Amino acid sequence: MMDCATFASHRDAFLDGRLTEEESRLVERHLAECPICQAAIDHLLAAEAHLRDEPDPEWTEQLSQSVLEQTTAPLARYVWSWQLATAAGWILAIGLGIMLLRPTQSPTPRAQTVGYYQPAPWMKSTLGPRREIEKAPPEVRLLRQLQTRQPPSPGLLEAIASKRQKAFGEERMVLLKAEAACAHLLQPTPQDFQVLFPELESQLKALITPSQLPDA
Amino acid sequence: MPEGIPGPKTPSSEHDAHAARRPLSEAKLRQIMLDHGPRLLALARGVVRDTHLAEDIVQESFVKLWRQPPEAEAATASWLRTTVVRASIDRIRKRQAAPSESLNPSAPESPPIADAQEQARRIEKAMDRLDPEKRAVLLLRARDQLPYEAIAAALDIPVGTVMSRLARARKALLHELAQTENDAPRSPIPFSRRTNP
Repeated sequence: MMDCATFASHRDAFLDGRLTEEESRLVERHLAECPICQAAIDHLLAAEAHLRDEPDPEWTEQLSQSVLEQTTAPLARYVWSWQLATAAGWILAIGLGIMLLRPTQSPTPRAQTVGYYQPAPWMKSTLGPRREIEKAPPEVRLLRQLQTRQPPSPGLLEAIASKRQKAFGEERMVLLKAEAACAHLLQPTPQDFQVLFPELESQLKALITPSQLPDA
Repeated sequence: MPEGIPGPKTPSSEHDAHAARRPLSEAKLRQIMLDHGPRLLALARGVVRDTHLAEDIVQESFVKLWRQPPEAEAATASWLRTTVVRASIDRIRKRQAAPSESLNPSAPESPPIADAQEQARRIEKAMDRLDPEKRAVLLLRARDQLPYEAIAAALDIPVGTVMSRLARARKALLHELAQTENDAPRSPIPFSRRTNP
């Protein structure tokens, strides 16, 4: 005896004719006794019959013409052909190649590259000496201090020390000597500065690009 | 009517590949459209539930066929069916909206109709409410009478998935028919809400 749950698991096989003779007999017996399952089968059979028997819609000449316009028209033959696409690709590639490999023309005079803003000479006086000094590199600022025998600021000392840590060889030796000179200016000794550090000024100037020299 | 699994994608040999790229003549294409157009239109319309969209899909499929027909001429019917059903599901999924046009000429506001027409209207309404995948599998099975293997090929899914999807589609159809019965004033046959007590 088949119950409704078992029937439900056999329903699709029954509709699609996949049951054995014995299973079909059991299903039919259940359907004869169960109006609910019978109604479900009736509805599905009715729905599938409706889908099967519904007449096909008409394929009009207008629809055919619309397709033919896209396919057999002279332009369409070429638009959709792979040969044209390949040819277009080659033309594009050759054109790009010619553009890229063409020898460059004589260089036109270009504007001079400006790394950073530099005030015009007539503006320097209005900026004031302190502002110019603060913007200058530490070697330049230190040279100014040494030339005027003025003790350097803590910030300048720190900048010189930082630069010395990254420097090598002759530059490192000069900066070490410069730090010693700073110590002398901060705490002057009886010895004369020029005697203690005779070549320091010229050595410092060697580290500075000529355009950045204070007297440039 | 057992039907072979279509193979529209990969030509088996170089000669076939060359033959596959050969465009169809106008007369041949016209004949194919006359032979298969109505059936494909019914299939597309059944899935997308929109006449104009179905016409677009079938026309595009014919253009695709002209551009790259299958290697074997005998596979044209299954190639077209596969192309149309997949395109229909894709388009309706992309659209993600209710169909703009009712397929049934007898709209709800139409005057009272006979029982058979009322039943047909309810079945169409229930079909409207199904997923496009469920509609497609039901149409391929019930309308086109295709075996599972051909449905699997058309939908690009395994045969086991066809069977389970068909079972789910029928269950959903029963459910929607029961819903439409509640909406309707009277019913020629009693629709049950539950299939398993």
